[in-house]
Amino acid sequence: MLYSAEIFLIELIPANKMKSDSVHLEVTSLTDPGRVRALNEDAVAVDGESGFAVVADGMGGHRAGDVASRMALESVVERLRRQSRAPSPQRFAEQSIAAANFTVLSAARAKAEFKGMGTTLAMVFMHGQRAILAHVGDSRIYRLRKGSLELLTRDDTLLHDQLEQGLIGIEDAGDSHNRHMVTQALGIHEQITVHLHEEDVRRGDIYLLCTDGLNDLVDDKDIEVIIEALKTNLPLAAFHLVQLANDNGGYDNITVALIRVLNDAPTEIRPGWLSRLRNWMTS
Amino acid sequence: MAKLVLSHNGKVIDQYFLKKTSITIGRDKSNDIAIDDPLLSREHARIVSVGDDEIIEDLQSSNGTQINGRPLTRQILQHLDVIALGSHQLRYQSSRTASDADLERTIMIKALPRTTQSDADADAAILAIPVAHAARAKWPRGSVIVLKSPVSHSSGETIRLDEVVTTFGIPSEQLIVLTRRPQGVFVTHVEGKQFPSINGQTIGTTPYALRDGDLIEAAGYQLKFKLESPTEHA
Repeated sequence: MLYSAEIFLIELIPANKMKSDSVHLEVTSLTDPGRVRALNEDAVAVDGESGFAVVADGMGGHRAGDVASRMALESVVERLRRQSRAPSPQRFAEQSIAAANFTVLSAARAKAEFKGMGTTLAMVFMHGQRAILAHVGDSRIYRLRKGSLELLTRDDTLLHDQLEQGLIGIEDAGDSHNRHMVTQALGIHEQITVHLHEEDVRRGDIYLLCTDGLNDLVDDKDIEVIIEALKTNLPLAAFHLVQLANDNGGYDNITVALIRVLNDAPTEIRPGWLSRLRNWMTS
Repeated sequence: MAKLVLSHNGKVIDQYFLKKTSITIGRDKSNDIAIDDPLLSREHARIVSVGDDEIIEDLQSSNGTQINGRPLTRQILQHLDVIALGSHQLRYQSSRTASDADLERTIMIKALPRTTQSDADADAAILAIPVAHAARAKWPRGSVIVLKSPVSHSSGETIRLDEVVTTFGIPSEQLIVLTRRPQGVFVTHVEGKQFPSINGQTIGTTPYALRDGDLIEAAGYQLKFKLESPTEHA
């Protein structure tokens, strides 16, 4: 390949034609029960128009984990579909998760069969040229930028606490029995601590949200290789991630959500315009 | 509950259940497990419980501690580990093994109390915790010989398919992916107007399981697939 059309699109579009207040997104999601469990207790939602993705991993309560994850997800999605991000994007994220926590907790207290249910939650939404990230529990948010994958969230797990406090070394993490012990979840206590984070949005960035069924079984290196290789067919990338988790054992439910920040609105890339550009380049 | 079985010269002397969150082992009577052995230091080793982990640490003893024949500094105990101190042995027995954790459901647990330092670092510290399993070593390996290439590769070149995915073509135009799986290597159409063909037959968008010697034509490439026999690597 002699040149990349994408690079020229960025450089040659006059600045006044670029929308500064919004980004164009491509989104996809996939959830799978895995190869061991009969029930899928994960939940996922993506929306390219409103610019968000949410994943949740339910647990506990006699088979009510799926109730908790769906309840929390619906609560958060309902708020994300409103246009307002008031009072501020970060406060909005915090309040959305607090409201979801209250919803799950109330249900858990009201019905005996829901007692003890809870859920993790990770979400990303776009606000102008910023991405707002929020999470509780061990569901993760990664970003692929310029071919390299970066983990942007801190797991709320006992294993993470052990490592952080130097009780064990990172090389011993695979020997731990505490991998599945989360220290925070929605629906358990009235008070929760939400991890909040804000990132600048760059064209070409790809955000991955996933439940531990993916990152417990698939190396970060392989996640990076798959997303980078298949980023132009996002649903196929999601399919490959889930397939690899299953090929590696599929011990847990697997859920992935992907957001790709497009170089520009897809409708604005006209073949005629591109070929004129090429002719100009080669003449 | 996990327990430690103390033995000397192959003879069982005593057993201790790990009920406390911190247990010390040594020559002094003040230890939770006091062993009368002149080769032991007064405070020789310690076991700390965190969640379902029992972490054993040598307390910089004069003669050291060995675990399964290797010098111990600190590590997470696993079912049937053998700890050697002086002329004594402790055998760790637990009802749980690390591989059980795979099948376990997520549960809630209280966070460790934060130290001042970890509090300050709370949101800065993002640790990429490695996966529990390294798989793939036994998965079939494949390679392709480039017979024809539109650009970057030269004819006759062999490309190994060691990664989980390897693509051929131009992103956003015409692209295929070769996927390494436990069952073998698969070829799938990624994008573009033309679908790949195998031995002259088009495969559409369905993944195709490659056989040794298959000819792949896609994205301007002609590739001959070679499957390395898994038995060579077993």
